Amino acid sequence: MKSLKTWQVFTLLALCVLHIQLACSIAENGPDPRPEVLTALAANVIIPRYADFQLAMDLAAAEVEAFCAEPSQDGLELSRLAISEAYLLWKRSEVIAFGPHREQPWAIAGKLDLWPVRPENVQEVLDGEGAVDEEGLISVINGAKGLPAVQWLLWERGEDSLEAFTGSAAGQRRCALLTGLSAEAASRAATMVQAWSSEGDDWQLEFANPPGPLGRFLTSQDAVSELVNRMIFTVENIRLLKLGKPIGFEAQGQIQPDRLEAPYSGNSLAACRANLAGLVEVFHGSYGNSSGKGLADLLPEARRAELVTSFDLAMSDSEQSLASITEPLSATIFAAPDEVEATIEILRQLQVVLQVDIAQALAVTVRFNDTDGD
Amino acid sequence: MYARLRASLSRGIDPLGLVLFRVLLGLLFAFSALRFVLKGWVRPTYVEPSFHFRYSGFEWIPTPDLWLLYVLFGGMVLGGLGIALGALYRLSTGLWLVCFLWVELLDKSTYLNHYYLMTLLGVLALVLPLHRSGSLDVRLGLVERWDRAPRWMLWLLRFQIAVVYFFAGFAKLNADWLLRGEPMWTWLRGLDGVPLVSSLIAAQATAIAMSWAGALYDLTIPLWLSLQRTRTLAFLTVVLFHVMTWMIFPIGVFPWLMIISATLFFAPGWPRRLRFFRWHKLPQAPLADTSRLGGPMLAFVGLWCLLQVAIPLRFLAYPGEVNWNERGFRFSWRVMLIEKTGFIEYRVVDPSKDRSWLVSPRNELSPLQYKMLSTQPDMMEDYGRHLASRYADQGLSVQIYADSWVSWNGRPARPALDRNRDLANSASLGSWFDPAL
Repeated sequence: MKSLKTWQVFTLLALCVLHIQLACSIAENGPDPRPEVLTALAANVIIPRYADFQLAMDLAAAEVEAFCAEPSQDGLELSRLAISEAYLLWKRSEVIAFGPHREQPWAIAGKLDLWPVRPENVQEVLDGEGAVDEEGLISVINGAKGLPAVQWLLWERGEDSLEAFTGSAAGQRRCALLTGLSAEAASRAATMVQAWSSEGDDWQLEFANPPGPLGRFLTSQDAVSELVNRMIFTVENIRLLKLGKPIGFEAQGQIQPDRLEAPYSGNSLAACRANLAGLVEVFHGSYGNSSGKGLADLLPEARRAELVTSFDLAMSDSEQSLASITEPLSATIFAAPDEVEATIEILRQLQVVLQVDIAQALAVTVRFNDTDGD
Repeated sequence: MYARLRASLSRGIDPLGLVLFRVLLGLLFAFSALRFVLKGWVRPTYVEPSFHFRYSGFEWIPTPDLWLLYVLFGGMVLGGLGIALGALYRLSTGLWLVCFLWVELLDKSTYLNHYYLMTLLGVLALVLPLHRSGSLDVRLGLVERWDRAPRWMLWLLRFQIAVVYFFAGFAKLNADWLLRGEPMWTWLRGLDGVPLVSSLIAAQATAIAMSWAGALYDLTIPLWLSLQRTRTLAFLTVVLFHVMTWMIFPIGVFPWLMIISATLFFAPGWPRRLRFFRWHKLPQAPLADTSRLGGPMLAFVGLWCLLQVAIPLRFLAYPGEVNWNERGFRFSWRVMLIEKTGFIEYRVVDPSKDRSWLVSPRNELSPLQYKMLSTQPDMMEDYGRHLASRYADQGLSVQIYADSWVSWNGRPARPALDRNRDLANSASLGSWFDPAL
């Protein structure tokens, strides 16, 4: 047998080391945890949350219909309560702002929750003569329908709200529009559930087992990356859009009350709290009484405890700070903008934990375009 | 000894290897420009952002309109093809260089090491008479044909590529790279979808092993490519290594540039071993006097070599850790060396009205610009000054404070700038970034 040359010996040795390394690595790490976590999130958090939203929206639409059939103060209050409940459930899903949430042909968020509402456009519909049933509403722009418009109709008149729904033809039309918009919102909620269902468009498969039929995510890491980015944007939106803009962040400090989210129902701060609740659910994989795997389970073991603690602390501070802002936000932005600014500052720490520490630990690229790097 | 060295460097060599390098380099230049256009990157990179991060001293370079940008990219394609064909060579090389530099100097957020290498090779291509063989210019009688090329031309190009590899390897000799396997481990964790490999790469030990291999590769590959006994295996390793990095990371034409450059280390007439090039005859004519290394060319080569060593080492003159503060980071072949994630916002204070508000740079910048800004201190300061100037245009005299947090190679986030420093009223780059890390 011919003797081996030096480079051949080295190659053989390298292959042996590689082989041992491969065996150790697989034994040490087990299979890729991402598909399991994504599957758990879809099954335990996303789908049940949308199902609850659909249920709440159906109830709200029914309450509104009952109220309009026989307008009364009690009926009005029950309708408001039911709409608020459904709205805040929807707000918990803002962190899942991808797929049917914003992509065509569903693009449900734009049709269901384009805020701030445009009162002049809703008034235009009220003043018009066109039908306000399902078909008639198709031609109405998104800014004049969905849950923001429903809230405007229910709360905008303050103490005179009941009066606005009764008696005159205008009142009847207002009620018809309210009923039509609520029914349409309920229908959107059903579409969302259908979009995620395995019997429907199966976004569950698309999200949890990439690449799915639509090819929205090529790998599990793409789906994780999308989710982390949405978490970051959820916090940033609370800070800069929902709290910052009303106190004048883009207007050199001039208060901008028309930039508030849900000002008529007084749900501005509750919506922010619901956004954060949704974020916690995704991070920990918990929803209602159930708990499963969440994004925290993907963190590298060496840093998991530290990062989970950082997240929980920053989240707890953020929730407390949001809760400490005097209600309603529409008044506080004038009376005590410092309160709002202090909360924005505290929420910053949560954004930093997500955008800097957790994004790096999960090897996620934060909003990066597809040009080259080296 | 010096005279002998000069004589040795001026000796004639078979030019065919250099001809093929020129052809491939020109084609790559053209392809790179065409790729950028076809990917649809021109508008989002250079037109959509209303602010560009300029290199210090190059603020005067005008920002071209979209049509002119396309003309510049067209110039790069044309220039690259001219280089490949050796057609109006100096004009083509100059055209490519001007167009490329104009675009590259528009915004430092687009800085890439391989664009810098392409620039350097473009300058060398302009200075060195690489068109004296195997070119249209020779065919058309525009320049005198050289049947042999001076050896110093090949060695200067080899030196340039060796510098890239050496400093890339030298920069990796740090604890993060060698002991923690970072940033390799972070990157590998982000990969999936490759059966078997995904499981293999998930371990830190694998990342450390790959990091060591990468450092050793960078530090020694020019040597293995130069030795005849190891050349074939070394070139296969080059191809394997760069194709692998091309598959794993979004690094554009960099792998192809390095594979092409590796051929410089082959024997000067290596293409003759390929059947396709056997038509190319090699007369034994003496080398023309013009190709001897002396006078201004010697001065150029000496200065060039000195700069190529000094520029990557300039970080030693700055305080602090270069991988953290990035002072002396660019133009230093610190390739694929760090992974940073960052966050940055600016607080604008209007003292006259006792008002303050936050500004998120996301509103004005492209995602790429924001990503670079959020981790690079000099750009953080640039943007702060830009904000001050923008508000000054509106008649507001404001203070600007940056709130920046950066995580580097898996470390917990830390502020990159002093939050209490008013960027609108502070001197340029100083000792204000945290040298503690």
